[in-house]
Amino acid sequence: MGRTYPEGGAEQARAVLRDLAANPRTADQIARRLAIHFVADAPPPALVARLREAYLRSGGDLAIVAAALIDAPEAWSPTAGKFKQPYEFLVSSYRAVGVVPADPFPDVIQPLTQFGQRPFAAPQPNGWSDQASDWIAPDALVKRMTWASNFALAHAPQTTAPADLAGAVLGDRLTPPTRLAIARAETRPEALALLLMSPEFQRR
Amino acid sequence: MNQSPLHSRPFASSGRLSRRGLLTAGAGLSFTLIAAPALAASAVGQSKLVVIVCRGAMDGLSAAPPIGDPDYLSLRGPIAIPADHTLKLDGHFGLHPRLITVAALAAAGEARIAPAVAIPQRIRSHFEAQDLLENGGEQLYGAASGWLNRALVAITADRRVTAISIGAQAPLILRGPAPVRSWSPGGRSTPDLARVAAALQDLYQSDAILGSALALGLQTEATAEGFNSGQTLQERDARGLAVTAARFLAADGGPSIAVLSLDGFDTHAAQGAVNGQLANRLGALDQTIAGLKDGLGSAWGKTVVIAATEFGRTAHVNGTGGTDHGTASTMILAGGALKPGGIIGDWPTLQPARLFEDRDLAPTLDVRQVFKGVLRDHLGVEPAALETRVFPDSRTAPPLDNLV
Repeated sequence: MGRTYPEGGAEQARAVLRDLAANPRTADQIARRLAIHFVADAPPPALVARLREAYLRSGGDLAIVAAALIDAPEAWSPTAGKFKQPYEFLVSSYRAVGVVPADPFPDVIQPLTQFGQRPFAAPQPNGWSDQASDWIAPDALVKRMTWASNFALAHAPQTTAPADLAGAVLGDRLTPPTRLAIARAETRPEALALLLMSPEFQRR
Repeated sequence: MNQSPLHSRPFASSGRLSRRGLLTAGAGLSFTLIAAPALAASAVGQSKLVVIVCRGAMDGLSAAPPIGDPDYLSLRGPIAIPADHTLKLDGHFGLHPRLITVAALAAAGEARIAPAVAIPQRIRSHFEAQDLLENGGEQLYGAASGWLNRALVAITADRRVTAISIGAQAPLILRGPAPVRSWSPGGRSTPDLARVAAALQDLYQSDAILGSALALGLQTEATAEGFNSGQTLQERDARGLAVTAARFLAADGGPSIAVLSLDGFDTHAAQGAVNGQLANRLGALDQTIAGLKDGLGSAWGKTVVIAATEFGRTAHVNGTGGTDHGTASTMILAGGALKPGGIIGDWPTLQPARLFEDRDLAPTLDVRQVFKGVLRDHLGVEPAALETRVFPDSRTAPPLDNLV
């Protein structure tokens, strides 16, 4: 940034961090990354501009930026714009059936590894990709399907009809084709597997 | 480039085009400009290329110990591979005792080593160096896709060629605009699963991405199950994975390119010598190459295998019986399509004055020169596309002649 910082212990580092935080390029980056993570792989430019503005106006107050994201109509679009990362898919599956994983290795680490997201092993220092194209690999999708089928065999709830569960989990996002596929399933676990693998449930 | 008194390999030290290279280059160009490249395509249409990415920085000085170099033993101390334990390569280089298949192939003229190669930038971070090895850029972050994917794009302008990676996701080297397949063990077909799969294919019909991805994934899984008679492979079964990859390649209409990754080469402590940590990883590499040869069957004769790593390791053994991040390392080439020959590139020697930054084996060859030579002469990639799109700004790293 073309500035020199005199030595002064920790204060020197704080001065560098303050200037980095106040840099408009930091605002660009944070606004874009937030919009990509929460809204869409290719987020609406108007949304990014509003988040950037909130960052700069508030002097980098992330709570205010988050509030701007919550206020943005783009964040509430009824069409889910993000394909779930393996971790999100796994966690939302457990939540859908109200089960807590019992054993971390077979219940969490093994499936995430098969889906291409071994915990704490992001291939790059900047973390996991936030783009659908990096997660919808043919093999990883087959692994999701295999896992969902076994998961459904183990956890399909006996008390809730699959159709009701679909409505409760997906709300207005449940589409007629998915509703129909779940209704036509031969068994309860099959119905749950289809719900978990439906295009709606695979996205958020 | 350094010419050592020990090794003078004029054929490999310059990037000049051989007469054969010139003819090939000229022929390829004129075919593209004038007519459908039917001849060029038939010559290289059956060629197979396998790239094994050895992640974590493989120690070339242990993979192919320079037993004729007078500084080797003293630099390496307890982790040196004694000459009488190495497998024979030539008078100056041996092979690690676990590289049994590679040694047998070398004796048959089907394996060679490039003992001092490096990526174009001097980087000591695994992540960044692997990026550069795989994206084929001149600079870090020079390209967002992988060079093998861009090679696919360049080839498919003429003919249909596909690629497969072993692993849940395609590694960077294969990512990009050309669609590629991936496969990893762990899928299993049961009658229940078949019904779910059928219902999902209906459900995904109107989904632009999920439908085609699932169809491809299911097809790949079915093919792999056929290869392994329904048995599920273990993820650490290097030979089994290589056999499966090779059978994909050898199948009718199968892919021409496969990528496998081996990790665990980051041996900072307790590296071992004849046995130990690194020996086991080299054993896995050898098993991978053996599995490829088995699985390819007669297609081995049209195959080139390249095993490459992001960088080498320090010339000195460190205080914990290991080695730290270095610069040049060894690349291993194998395959029935390989031309017999000696070591590829020059040997810089381990003399103290020759070490890079006083600590590492110095590179004498750019990895891209090997990749480009193989892509041009084995897969028929146009030289013009190689210079500009596959390896952007790589005129200073001309393709190596006489590899294939």
